[in-house]
Amino acid sequence: MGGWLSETVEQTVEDAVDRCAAGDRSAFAEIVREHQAMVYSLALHFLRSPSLAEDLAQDVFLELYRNIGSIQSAAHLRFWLRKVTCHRSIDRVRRRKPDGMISLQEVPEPAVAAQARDPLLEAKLWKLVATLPDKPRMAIILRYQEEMELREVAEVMEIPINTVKSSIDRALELLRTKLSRSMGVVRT
Amino acid sequence: MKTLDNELKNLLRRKDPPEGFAERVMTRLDERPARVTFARRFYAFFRRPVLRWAAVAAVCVVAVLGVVRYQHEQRTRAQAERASQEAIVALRITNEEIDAALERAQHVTLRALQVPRNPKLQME
Repeated sequence: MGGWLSETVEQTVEDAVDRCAAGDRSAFAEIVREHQAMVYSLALHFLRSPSLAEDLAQDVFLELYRNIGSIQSAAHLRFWLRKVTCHRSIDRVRRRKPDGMISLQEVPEPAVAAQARDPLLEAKLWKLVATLPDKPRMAIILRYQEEMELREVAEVMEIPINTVKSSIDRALELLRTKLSRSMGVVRT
Repeated sequence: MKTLDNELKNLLRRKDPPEGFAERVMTRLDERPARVTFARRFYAFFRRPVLRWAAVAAVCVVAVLGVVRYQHEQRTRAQAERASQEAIVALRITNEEIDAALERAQHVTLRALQVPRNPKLQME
């Protein structure tokens, strides 16, 4: 049932891509609606600014419109959108970096330990993720937001799979250490 | 207690963009055609590596053909000039030979006219 549904969605997206390549703008609107949450969330989680994320997501879709002729399938479209969003987000952050990003090790411990379901935990984790270096942070976002395999993350980010694996492992270890110190025990 | 994996999945779950996102993208798309000039389309066309190299190759072929054609024309012009000179020389020679022949003919005629007449015949 799920497979049939996803096949239908893929077919619909591919039809929309074909129609869009033939000049049908309403088909492009369908493509945007289908993928807007993915693109916007990747940008939002990385940039942590709704306005910057929306701006970047719009740019990504405009670029997609210019390159729609090169899209070969629904899977290729998802890959293309993830890749362009990922690289543009990293570029955007690098351009506005000098305002003082701090490393994970520099993040102060919270004064009071919180409950496991406390919103403070989420806020703390959000802050810790935001302090990761660019590439490990993007790898974590792709891995957990999009639930991608390491190989897929490596392809999207255009870095070796071993680098992805070590970056994610190191980042998780740092997050775990920081969280366990501040919030109590966190299991993997 | 939730695991770190679950916490991260929950934290990084997809979120919808603000209302009207797709419409705003389409609005920006509608603004674009005015800015897409012929020059931009031209440069965008040649940004594709294959076409860029094809254009370079076409320019080279046209240049080589131009040089070959120029040399061919130069050669043809030189041959025509030489042929024309030869024709003039030939005509001059022919003219001189005709003059000489006419002169000889005139000379023979004059000599024939100067032969003394038979006196006997004159008496009668």
